[in-house]
Amino acid sequence: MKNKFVLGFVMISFVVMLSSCAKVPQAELDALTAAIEDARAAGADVFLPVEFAALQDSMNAINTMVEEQKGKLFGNFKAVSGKIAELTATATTVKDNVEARKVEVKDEIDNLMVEVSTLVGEAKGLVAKAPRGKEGAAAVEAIKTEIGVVETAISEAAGKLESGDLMGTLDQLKAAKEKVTAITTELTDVIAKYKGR
Amino acid sequence: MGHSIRGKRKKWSFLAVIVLLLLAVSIYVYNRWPESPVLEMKAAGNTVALARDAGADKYAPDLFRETCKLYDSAMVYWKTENKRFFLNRDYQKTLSYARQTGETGMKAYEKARKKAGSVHHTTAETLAELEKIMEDFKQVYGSLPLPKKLRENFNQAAMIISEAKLAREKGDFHIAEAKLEKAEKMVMEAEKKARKMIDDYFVSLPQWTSMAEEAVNRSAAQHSTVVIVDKMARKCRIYKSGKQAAEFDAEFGPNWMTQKMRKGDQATPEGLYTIVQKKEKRRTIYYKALLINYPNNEDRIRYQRNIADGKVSARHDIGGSIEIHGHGGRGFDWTNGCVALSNKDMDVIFSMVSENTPVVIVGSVEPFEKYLKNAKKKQNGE
Repeated sequence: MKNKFVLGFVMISFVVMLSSCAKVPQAELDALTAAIEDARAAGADVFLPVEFAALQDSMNAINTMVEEQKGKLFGNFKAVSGKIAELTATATTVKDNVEARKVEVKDEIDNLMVEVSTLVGEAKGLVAKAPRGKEGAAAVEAIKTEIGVVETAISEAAGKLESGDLMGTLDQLKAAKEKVTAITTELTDVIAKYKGR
Repeated sequence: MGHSIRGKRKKWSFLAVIVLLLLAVSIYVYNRWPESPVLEMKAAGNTVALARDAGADKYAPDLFRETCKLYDSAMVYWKTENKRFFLNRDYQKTLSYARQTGETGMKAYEKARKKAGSVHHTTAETLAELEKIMEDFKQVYGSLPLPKKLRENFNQAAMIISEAKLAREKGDFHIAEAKLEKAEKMVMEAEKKARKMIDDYFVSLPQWTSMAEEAVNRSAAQHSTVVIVDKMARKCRIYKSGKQAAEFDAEFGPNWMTQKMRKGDQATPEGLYTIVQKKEKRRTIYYKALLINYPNNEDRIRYQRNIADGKVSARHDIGGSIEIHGHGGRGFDWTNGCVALSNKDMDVIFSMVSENTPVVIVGSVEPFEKYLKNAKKKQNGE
């Protein structure tokens, strides 16, 4: 009877030893996945693409480590747990940085929107002042349509902003600024050319 | 006593058997424990990272997507197999997908590296080419009455080029490339339409040149005066006895690049006319004016034909009161179809012509290419 008990005990210990060497930190893994998804949803892939790519690569590495340990006879998830905690913290930081970058971009957009609109107003003022003589007037007529395109770009940018496409808005406004600045220069030249005659 | 020793021996033997059994099982388990594809999966993950770092997601997106898919599949199979009892685990599919990840990932990496290396130069070249085309377009078609939509498209393309430039500066060459491609299409389309407009306009060139030549020859033969208006060159020239005696800058209606078809179309007519009245002081609001006999018989025949063809509504009048008049020199086309000269030039022409002086209005007296060459020379101050 006693021997049977010892045998049973040894067998159970052996099975326990094989099957429950260590536990996968599933809750931490789920939390990490959620943190990376949060960063992505916040726009990390758009606003901080390099940092987000690093997060993805680290996540892949952690998954590999987890499966490596799962595949071992005596898996040990201690090191993985440490990495998971580290990466979860990094993902949260990336998300926070994205939010901060968004605020910066929004500020930049607001400033540019005002700046470009002011420049368009200035360009229109110059059109009104521009001389109606010889080549000058022909150039002014052409410039009017160019100002129209810049105005369209501003409205398009406003539409993009409404739909949440901050980077698209920023790029479009920057291009509009460049264009309207060129127009202002051209108009100033036309005025100067005419005055010189 | 002997019974006790025998009992102990039996017990130890039993334990030894158990230990040996456990040892045997352990050795069996150790030998049969499947090797996890850790190295292969690490290599696959590294390839994904390498391809991404090389910009494969931008420059070889299809291959990169495929690589990621293969890697995900490998990971799924790995996880699935790890959930099985160790004797049932089979990592063949995981290994196969990991290897495919490596191969496809390397292809994506190579393609991205090549593209990233060349796109820097190709976008710079395309940008320079497009800027040149835009400049030429402005020079060639800038003063021509292009349709509003066409001009808007052209300006839109210029805006996209500015965006592409900014994307390049930011190092987003793939975005710059896509934008330049879009802009190039728009510019080419605008160029094509503008060129067609020019080609259509110049179809009548042989007729115009013979009209102008005949008028000049007649002036030479009859020692008379003739006025030749060249719309494309924007010139009004006076010939006396076949020799050019004066040349003035001229302005027309905004829609001058077409034959006049009806009243209010803001087109300047083309044809052989004569001055029917010289007006000055209170008889004109344009300083001085030379009224020509538009519509002449040919204009009336064409007008009727256009009505019959449905090109002009019968409700529209053929128009009239076409003059060479003053108040010009504004630098753009502003009349309702008349030819406007500066008041100073009007004084000169007024003194050189009389009633019945022939006026020939033509689209151009030289091919468009020659006109362009002359315009460029003028612009360069040659």
